[in-house]
Amino acid sequence: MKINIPSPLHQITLEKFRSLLVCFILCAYLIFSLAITHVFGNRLLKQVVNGFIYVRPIAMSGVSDISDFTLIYASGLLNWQRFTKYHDIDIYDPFLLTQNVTRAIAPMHPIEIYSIQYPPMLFLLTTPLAQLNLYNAWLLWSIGTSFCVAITLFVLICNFIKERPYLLVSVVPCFGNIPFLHNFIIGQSTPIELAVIAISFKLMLNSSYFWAGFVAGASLFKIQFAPIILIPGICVGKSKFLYGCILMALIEAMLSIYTVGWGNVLNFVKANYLCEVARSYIGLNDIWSMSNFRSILAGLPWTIPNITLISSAAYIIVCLISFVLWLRVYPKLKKISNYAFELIASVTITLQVIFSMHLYYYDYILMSIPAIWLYLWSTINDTNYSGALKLIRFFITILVILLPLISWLSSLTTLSESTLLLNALRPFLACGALVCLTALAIILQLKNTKNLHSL
Amino acid sequence: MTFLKTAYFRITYLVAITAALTSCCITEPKIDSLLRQAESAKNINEFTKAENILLEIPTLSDQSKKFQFLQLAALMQLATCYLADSKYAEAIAVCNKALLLCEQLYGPNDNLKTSILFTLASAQEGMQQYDQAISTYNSIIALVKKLPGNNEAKEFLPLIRCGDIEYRKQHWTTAIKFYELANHIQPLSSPTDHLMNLRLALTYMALGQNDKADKCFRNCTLASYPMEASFGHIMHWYAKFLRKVKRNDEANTIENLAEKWDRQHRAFKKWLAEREVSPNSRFHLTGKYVAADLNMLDEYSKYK
Repeated sequence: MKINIPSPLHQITLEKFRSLLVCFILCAYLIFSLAITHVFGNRLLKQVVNGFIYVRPIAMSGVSDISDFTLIYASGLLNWQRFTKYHDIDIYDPFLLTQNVTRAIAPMHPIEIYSIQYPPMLFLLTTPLAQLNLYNAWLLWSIGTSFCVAITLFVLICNFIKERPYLLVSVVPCFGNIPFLHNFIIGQSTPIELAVIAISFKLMLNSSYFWAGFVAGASLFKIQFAPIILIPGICVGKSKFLYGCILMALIEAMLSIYTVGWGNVLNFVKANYLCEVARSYIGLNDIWSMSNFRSILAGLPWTIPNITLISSAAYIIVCLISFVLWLRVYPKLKKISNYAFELIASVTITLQVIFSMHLYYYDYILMSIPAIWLYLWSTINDTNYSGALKLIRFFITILVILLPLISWLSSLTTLSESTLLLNALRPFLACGALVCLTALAIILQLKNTKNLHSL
Repeated sequence: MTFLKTAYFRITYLVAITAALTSCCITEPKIDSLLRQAESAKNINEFTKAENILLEIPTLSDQSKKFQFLQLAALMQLATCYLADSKYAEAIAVCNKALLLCEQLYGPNDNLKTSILFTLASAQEGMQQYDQAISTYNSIIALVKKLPGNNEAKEFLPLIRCGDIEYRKQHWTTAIKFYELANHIQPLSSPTDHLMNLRLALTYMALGQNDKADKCFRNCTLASYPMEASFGHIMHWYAKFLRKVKRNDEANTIENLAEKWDRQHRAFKKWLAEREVSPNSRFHLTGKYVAADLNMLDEYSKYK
């Protein structure tokens, strides 16, 4: 397919035009990132050095807001205390956890009572951090999570580097987007989940289903995102995947019992029940401050009743769609496309991210996997594709490249009811468009093959 | 699909059901339930109710370490309740008890001690025992300096509070010295930046250094987020200042802007109220504590 570009560029192919556009966007993006770093870098560095990155006083009475990492660090402090001195401590007790948060940030004190709902294996990672001071612990944690993002990138592009060395440029959007920076600064754990999911997918692509399941078992660490890998694993890897997954779950259970004690494994169930079902500790995790379908419903100008129920139903439907895609569509697509796995996975990952019940802006780092896969697929040789597919692939490339830039827009707005909704809508619509385009590409590929067979 | 009928899948399903059923039988520990009720009461300013609930706690608990940690949490909560309820003598007594228990549980040099000392100093301030309060704030700074790593952020609030005491005593130059020290620590775009700049502006105003006061007021408006309640409040302050220095036109513009932001903030609060926002929400509490801080500054201004 050829498109007319006015002189002096003469006629160029869509493929070349796409390459030029990608280069232009990446250059603009690099300049933008450098400018932002120049403006805010020093301020951020000062916040890191003097400690305001972990705790931010709200008023002069001492009440303060904390970063997610401070909570993670406090959980380590609490478990270290249990490990060394007081073995009967309930490490999931919100008041004990908050006391340890205060120990980390005093003389300031936290504005609210915190509760941790992570599985006990989190303490395996956080307890050693209690040996360091908050600054060194944050540094270690953030370097670790950045390493997880680097692993993800490497795992996804390693097979293509020889043929397409320019893919290394993808380091820029991969590390220079707002979800990544949020994860880095607030010390969230989503990059660990990202690496687990990416490695497991890679092993599935290599047909090592047992090991894929084994690695995927670690995704239970952040339980709300575990279905992203468990659904394809169960559908494609079947029993081998499940054996691996069960083995990892058993190892995790044993390590958890060793790290936090049997009583605290049960306390994990209790903490989740009290927070999520009994809603004893309300105030945490306001729905409208999330960045998903659920928060969009909560942020609409008119009030919708039963938001949680509606979004739960939507999430279940998304899971069912994922099952159907993996069980029905994937086997057919596999016969006609070398990228069948990546295409189906991109659709299911994106759907499960935007419809997740518990998702904040920084969790969009999970979109790195579909973004890289879709970029790879949409920029390979065009000769095998029909006109309509070429155009869809063109739009997919551009949308994928624009995703990090879209993420920056949220930082440029101030808080109000309309911007809250807009900040949730923007990534939802961008990812939604990506799903639609990919789904269309899958349908067209299947339809083309059907036509070919009927001929 | 046959896989879904296998024994493995059924076992997983059974485990999930058992976990769900087990969790349904779980109840919250009594002491936690009381602490939670007290916290909720405190958040909606029902201090007497919160105090009564917290006073019940020591009789419930036994002497095991597990309960002593929660007892310490209860004492710290009780002290802040007394403080908010202006019962300063009681707050001091409870802080002293908490300090003893803290040393017993965490040792003499644990950082938690500085949080209790901060409440103690605030109570001393309330009792107008300014010299003791300054000495307590200084002991916090000394303790913090001993901690490993850079802990400048932990010196920020004690410095501000020392400045506030000096402001109250109308020792403007000393107040400025403390505020500037704190300002040096605090990076821009922190939530308290506008409160910090407002303090500087008011002190410079008191010193008659109107140019510096004007600059600090401008910094205030830059630093505060439009949707915060404090934005309108600070703008009104700025307008008052502008009228004082006979810049009435600018004052009118600022007044209009302040009213506009006040309206927007009310709309935002209404929007939040229509949604699931509990009194324990961080957004609700932030507004409450910032408003309390601004009211305190309003009170200070009477000394001018």
